[in-house]
Amino acid sequence: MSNDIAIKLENINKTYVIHDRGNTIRERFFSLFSGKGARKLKALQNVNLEIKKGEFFGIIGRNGSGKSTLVQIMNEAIPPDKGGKVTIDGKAMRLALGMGFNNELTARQNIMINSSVLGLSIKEIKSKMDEMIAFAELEEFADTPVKYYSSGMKSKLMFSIAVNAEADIFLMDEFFGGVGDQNFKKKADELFHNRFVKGKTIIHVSHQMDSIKKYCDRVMLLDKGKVVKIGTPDEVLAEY
Amino acid sequence: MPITINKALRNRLERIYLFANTDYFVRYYGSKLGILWAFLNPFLQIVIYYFAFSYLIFKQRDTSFVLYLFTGIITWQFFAEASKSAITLFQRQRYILQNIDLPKIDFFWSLILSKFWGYFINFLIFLAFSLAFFHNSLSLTLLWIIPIWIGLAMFTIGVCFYLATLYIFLRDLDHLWSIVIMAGFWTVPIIWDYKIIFEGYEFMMYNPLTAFVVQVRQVTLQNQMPDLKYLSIALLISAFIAISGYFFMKYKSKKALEFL
Repeated sequence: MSNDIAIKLENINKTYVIHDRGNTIRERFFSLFSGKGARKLKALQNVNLEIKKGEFFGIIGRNGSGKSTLVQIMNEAIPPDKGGKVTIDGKAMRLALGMGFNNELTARQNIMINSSVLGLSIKEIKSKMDEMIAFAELEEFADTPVKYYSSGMKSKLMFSIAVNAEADIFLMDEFFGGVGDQNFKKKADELFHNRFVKGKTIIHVSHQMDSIKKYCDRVMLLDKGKVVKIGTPDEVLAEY
Repeated sequence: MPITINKALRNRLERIYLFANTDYFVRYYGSKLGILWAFLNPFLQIVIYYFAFSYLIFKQRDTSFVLYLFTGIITWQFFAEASKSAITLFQRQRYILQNIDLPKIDFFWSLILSKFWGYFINFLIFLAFSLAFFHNSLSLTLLWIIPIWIGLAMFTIGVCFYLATLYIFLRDLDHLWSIVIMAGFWTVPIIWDYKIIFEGYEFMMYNPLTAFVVQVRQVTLQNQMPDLKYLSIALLISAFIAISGYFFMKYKSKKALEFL
């Protein structure tokens, strides 16, 4: 793989085996002996792709088109079918706003745990703690268990944590969806593009076409697990 | 900015510590007495055993039986709690596992560390009682507890590797394991004395948990060196379980994460 490539996918197929089960005890019992109930679902078919270092790459497609499966394969969280090859140069991390908080812990404690998972040392987390809380506008609730937070407060906190993550490649699955009010969105957008994105490879999965058009260098359109088109945002969006 | 190996290793160790710390302390959040319960629980447990076995159940029994029982129970509890918690480990951490490529073994280190802190506090309470009320004394022999604990941790983490991975495919495992734990409690000499029961059944000593419970007592209550033959066998079996469990988890969990 040449030095300027961050992610290379070769011959990627993904087949899920879905086990349907009955709802009643009787149905479940007899399904043990019938051999029925397993079916195959092709989530991705023959995907080949190269993403350059520093590129802002968008992935779009309808629900069920294979976007999230592809991101999980790029992240090496799940393997492709036999014969497929994933090559990654650098540390990759997937970010999504539905990330796990421990509801019993306070914002400060959750920042500590989540930031550590995202690659920061305890010293770095402590030095950035107040900044993260202030950015999420949660100064008054920093020591309140997050179980008392609204979903908006949780999203803002997670965004604030995630933009401090350390990796070379970020896979962002609907990362911008529904974060706070208009003022927060504007502030988050500025921080994201002025500080976070610089020098990093971003794979941006979204249904929001305005962000795809605004930020992406190239876009890929997926449909039923197949690549329909890869090109500039204008070219691909015209076909969507 | 390039991430150096040293920083990565330090961050990894810090993450293991943070996860263990949270796992251990989170159970006390929200309670009025908080972490004090970690000390109160074993303290009250010993007091209850003392009254139960001194006055209610075995009037004639030597009261040191309380310590005999307590060492067995806390050693068993470490294994039982860690293994039960391991069953749903991947399920609980699925968000992280599906999104961030972290070494899966770190979750197991955190789990063992968290449960070990509980065990260690119980052990300190036991030592305090042993010195204050039973006139036992401390000696260098107590240091033999370290290889015993290493063996216990190896065996436990090995079992945890198998359970956490198997549970992804076999969701009945948590129910089955509760029964195994219940049965296991009676096959390990926690309440009964292995010297009486074991005539002709020496093979039961090859259960590493039996060996560890017996050796912990030998070192702490009898102030004697452990039986090196049984300890070595238990350590070897534990190392085998830990290594084979690790490779089982490593190779099976990759594919298995799809099912979470």
